[in-house]
Amino acid sequence: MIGLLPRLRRFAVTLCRSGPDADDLVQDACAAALQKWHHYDPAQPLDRWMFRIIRNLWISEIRKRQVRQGQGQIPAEEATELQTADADDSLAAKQVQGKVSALPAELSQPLLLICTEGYSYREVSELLEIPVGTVMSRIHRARKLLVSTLGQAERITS
Amino acid sequence: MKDLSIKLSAYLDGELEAGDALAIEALLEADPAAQAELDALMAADAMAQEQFAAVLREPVPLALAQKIKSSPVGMPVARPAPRLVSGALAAGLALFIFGGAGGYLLKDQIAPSGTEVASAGWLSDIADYHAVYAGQQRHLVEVAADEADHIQTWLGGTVGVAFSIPDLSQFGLTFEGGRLLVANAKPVAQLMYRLADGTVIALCLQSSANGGAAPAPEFKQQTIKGFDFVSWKADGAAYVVIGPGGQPNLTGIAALAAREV
Repeated sequence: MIGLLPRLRRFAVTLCRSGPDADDLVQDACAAALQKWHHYDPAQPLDRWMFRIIRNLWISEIRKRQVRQGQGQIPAEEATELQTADADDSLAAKQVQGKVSALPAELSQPLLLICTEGYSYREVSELLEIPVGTVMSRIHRARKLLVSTLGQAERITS
Repeated sequence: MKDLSIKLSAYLDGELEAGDALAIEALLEADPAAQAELDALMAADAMAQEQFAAVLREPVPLALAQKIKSSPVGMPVARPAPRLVSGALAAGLALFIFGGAGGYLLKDQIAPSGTEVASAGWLSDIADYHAVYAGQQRHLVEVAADEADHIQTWLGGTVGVAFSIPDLSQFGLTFEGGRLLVANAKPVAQLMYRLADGTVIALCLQSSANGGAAPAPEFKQQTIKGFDFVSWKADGAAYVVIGPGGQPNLTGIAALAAREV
């Protein structure tokens, strides 16, 4: 589990957007995993089991925060990040700085899982509890937003 | 164009049916605009991979590793304080509270089965240390390479194994310095090297009753917790070279280290 920490933190950062919050989330997830270690199937990759625990804890945390903020209960697929402005507006506002880190979690997570962790669309669909078609459109949208920031960077450079 | 772009994105991920993939490949040959769109998506991927890789290189906070490592299975991890919205304050508090106890806590081990064990092999401990320290930038080592003589005296005396610091520059490795670790309740000398791309390779050694004086060491390759190891024993000591999983030339590095150490 210790050896997985860098990758667990990276996954958590795509959710939290804050290193310290990600560290807290990973610590809680590892504690939860150790508590229910008897549920872990050794035939299943440990990293994927941990990613699922991290995501579930984060959704729980966001739900608590949003209930506290008077936004009421929300479905899991909408609970992956704190209430923000429209993704495109948010990214544009940050110009080309941050790039990947500026993507909303709903886009950066499929991007991380598919481009870097080697997940299939089906596996991302199961982990994030969204349809395969949504995975396809979200990773495309993530790429297009990054392409647009690359274009902005080129225009600024020139 | 949007539908085509989505298909190109799926093509990039190998998610299209065979027939659709063939159609896309034919289109790419005939349509420069489609090829340009694919190139743009690939450029976005390259940027994403680079930035995600950078996150992976960030050091794992020692306090986090220590708390997880010291948590017995079935018991919740003791939290120093309720979750703090201020990240910097939370991190600072955690380091303040747990920093001093780190050396003691890190020597504890948790087996995957959940039972605490006295010894799971020193390589498992080395893997845990490497996961934490290899991400360190400013604090990779305790004693820097410019005090090589001191490193040899200090670590050699503490570990009980006289050694020379191998020159591994022919593999592109720069000696960065040394650290003292504890594995299997015994001191370990860790010599840290870095490639130009930032990859950290370490040579670790500790005394070993089984380390005979064989004319040629027998090298053993293992992958533990995602890291590649090449270990050998010689002259009353156990040695291991550790690097990231899939690291090329690790056996060659180990062979050279075995000759020079």
